Parts: sequence; structure tokens; C-alpha cells
Amino acid sequence: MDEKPQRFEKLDREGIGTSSMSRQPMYKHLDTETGKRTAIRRLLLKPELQDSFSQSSGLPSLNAAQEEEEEEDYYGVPCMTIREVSLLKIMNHKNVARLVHVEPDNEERFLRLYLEYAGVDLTTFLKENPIWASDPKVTKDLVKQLLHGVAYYHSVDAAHGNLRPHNVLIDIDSSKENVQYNLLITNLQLLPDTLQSNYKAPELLLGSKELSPAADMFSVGCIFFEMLKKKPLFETRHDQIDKLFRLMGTPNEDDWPGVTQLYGKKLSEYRQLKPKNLSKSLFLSDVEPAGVHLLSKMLCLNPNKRITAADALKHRYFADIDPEQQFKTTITATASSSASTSASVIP
Amino acid sequence: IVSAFDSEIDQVLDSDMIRRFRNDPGFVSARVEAVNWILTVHAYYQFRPETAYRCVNYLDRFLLSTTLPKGKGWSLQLLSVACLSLAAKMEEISVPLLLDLQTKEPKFMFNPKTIQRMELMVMAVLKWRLRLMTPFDFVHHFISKRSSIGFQSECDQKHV
Repeated sequence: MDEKPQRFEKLDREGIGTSSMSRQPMYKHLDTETGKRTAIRRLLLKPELQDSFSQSSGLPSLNAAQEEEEEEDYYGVPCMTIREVSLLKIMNHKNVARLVHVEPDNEERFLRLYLEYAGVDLTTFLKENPIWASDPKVTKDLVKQLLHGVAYYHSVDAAHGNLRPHNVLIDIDSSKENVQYNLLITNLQLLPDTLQSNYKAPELLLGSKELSPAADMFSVGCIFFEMLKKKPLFETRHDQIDKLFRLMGTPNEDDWPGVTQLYGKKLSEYRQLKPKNLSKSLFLSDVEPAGVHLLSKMLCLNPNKRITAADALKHRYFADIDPEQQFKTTITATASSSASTSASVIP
Repeated sequence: IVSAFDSEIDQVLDSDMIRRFRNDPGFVSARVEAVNWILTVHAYYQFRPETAYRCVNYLDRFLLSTTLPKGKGWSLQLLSVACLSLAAKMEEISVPLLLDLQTKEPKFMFNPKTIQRMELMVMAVLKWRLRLMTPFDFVHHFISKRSSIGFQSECDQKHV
């Protein structure tokens, strides 16, 4: 974050969290060409640097001998970096943060991706706007936008892989009579908050390494719950599986054929439990039944049976929203508008 | 498939530029040589046909938007290696090391650092638009259309 180009100005007061890669605070940057806010994501150009990079604080600079060695087995710019950037470059959807600019740092150790940033992240939104956030219509509108963004990712054969509240940005536009919310999915590598809340799908927790659309949908389910109840579904990382099985039941061959073969060893550590009533055990009695039903489809343990983003959008939970017009609340803009920023509405 | 076309606009080669280059015999023969080397290495590693298409597309788009230093054969060779490496990384499941990629008697050898720098330059010049439609995508598309009438094919899994 040392030298930055003229085009982007660091907005010192607008920190957004701590980078999980460099363990340094991250700031928003102003794109002086468009006047819009951006956030930086870094992608390594040398994957083998990852370890020394994440230990950071006493960051050992690579000595010459090590560098010589690297030369021998060198692949150049990593595959994943190339694929990811070229994918982000063609992404064009109002609910997905645009890639504004890419540049390597001076030593060509990593790439800086300037991603569109607007409003505040979901956690901050829920905290700062308790009244708006408690409106079931607002929740429905936001979940729908989230699903539209995720469905777009999946429609271009991509999975997001890191859906969590800090990657969901909400911009409140209270300039008009009807308050509008615009949701943006981004992908910043930030450290989780003090709470080690978790949004990973069960198949990933059980050992699968494959990012998939289905795994994204489980994360959407966790985020959906968080919007409904203003707290994470799984507050601690270590007992997530335990809590999940107590809720959804321990997976067995009947509802997830092949599960024993895939994860049998790990599964044997858990007791056989039966699924519970979601509405009761998650205290969702104030939520309309269709919403609870949709949530249960998203949290389905078997990734093959989990609802897809496209199907979720057709779910009856959204039946009462006008499909053409985005939902508009009638709350006038007198309520707290501290979080509102320049709108990122894309025509 | 319509959205796929939208992303194509950047990848169309400017026909005026092509005409100008066609009249430059030195350029044409240098390009032919570069493409021949690419195809030889492509065959050696048994890359997928898409990789060759991509690679030559990157090469041409780069050549049309930037001028390489004249009379320096190494620059075109460096460009070829970088494009081939990028194309392989976009398309192939396993990619050879940069040193191994420079096989089949290239006129010049480059160290991996130089190639990485060139890769970055190529991507910047192409505005990072490395995803593109290839004729092969149409084949997959039509096969998948056909398979929906009851024709089983392994290609359709990916594209339906």
C-alpha cells in the first residue's frame, strides 16, 4: 500500500477492516476519474510467497539463494490469478462489484485489484440501521438482490467462494422520497471480525476443497439468517458442524447418497441426530413460513439437493414482490441516513 | 449465449489495421514463424485445440494494439511464449513450467521472470480480457442443444 498511482486516493478515515493477507488495515480509495469509491484486493503473483506473507509481522524478505531456487520451477503468473481477473473483468451486473482497475505492485509480487465499493458492509448496515433492517420487506428485497448477484456469478460458470457479510455491501439511497437499497457483492480478503463466525458449507467443513455454486448457496442461507435475526447463524467456527447437525440432522445415505464414502470417517465422530423444526429451534416464529422454507432449502446438507440461486429467485417467498420494479419502502428519509453515500446505481 | 456475444466487442480485430499489416511482408513472415513455433509446442504438449486458438488471438490482438521494437526477433519470441503460457493457463488443467514451455528449438530462451513480466504486459495491453468465445464454444452449444432431444454427450454436462 506504499506507492499508489495518481488515479486512486486513499481515504484515510474510511477503513474497512484488516487484510487477511498482509494483516494491515485496508482503506477505501477514491477513483479520481469517476469520483467513485473502490476497495483494494490483492492477488499474489507468487503463490509460494503465501506462507511468509501471512505470517507477516516479522516478514522475512526472501534471500537471494531462495530466489534462485524459485527460478527453476517457475510458472509465471498463477493460473488462478489470470482466470480470476479475466473473469472479474467481464462481469457486468448491478449487484456485483465491478473491477475498476488492475495493476501490479512495483516489485511484481502481487496484483492490486481496485473493486467498486459503495455504502457499508452488511454487518455495519444491520448494526447502524436497526429499524430499517428489521423491516421484513427490506430483508426480502436485500435477499433477492443478493440472489440475483449470486445467480449471475453462477450463470458465467463461476462460484464466489467467499460469501460473508463483509463481502456484501449495502448502499442506502435516501435522496428520493422512497428509500432504496442497492446491494453489491464484492470479494475482499478481510479478516473476520472478532467473532469467528462462519459461512462455510458442510461439504467444505467435512474436507472437500471444491468451491461450488451449491457451497455459495449455503453461505447465502447463513447470510439470510443473519439478516432475519441480526446475528450470525454460527457464531463460533469450531462447533459449526456440531450445531449444524443438531439443527439439520446428521447426514445419512438416505438424504445424501454417497456421503459415507466421501466423508464417512469424519462423520463417524458425530452422533446420529434427527433434523429439527427450523422455525422453533432458530426462533423464527416472527418470519413468514415461506421464508423459513427457503432458508431450510438453502441450508440443505446435501449440496446436490440444495436450492440453486435461479430456483431460489422463483421461490414463493418472493411472490409478493413486483418482479419489474425494485421494492421501495415508504419510509421517508428522516431516519438515520449516516451510512448513505453516493449511489452506485448502474443504469 | 447472448451475454457471451456482449463480451466479444473488445476482441474483434480492427480490419483496417489488419489490412495495413498484410502489406508488410516482413511482419507477415515473422508472424507465420511465431505461429508455427506455437503450434509445434502445442502439438508437443498435446494441448487442447482451444489453447491454440486463444494463443493466436492474444498474439494478434497484442500485435495490433502495440508495436514491438523493429528488427528484434527476440521480442516476438518472448511474446509467443507469454501468449502460449497465458492461453494454457486459461484452458489446460496442467501447465508446464515456463522453462519447459520453451521447447522445440526456440531461437531465444528467456528466464521465467522476464516471461512473467511479459505476461503482465500482454494482459494489460489486452485490458485483461482473456476470456473469449471460441468456435469450439459453438460446437459445445449445439451439441448440448442436440443432447436435449435425447442425445447423450459428455460435453453437455458443462454447458447446459
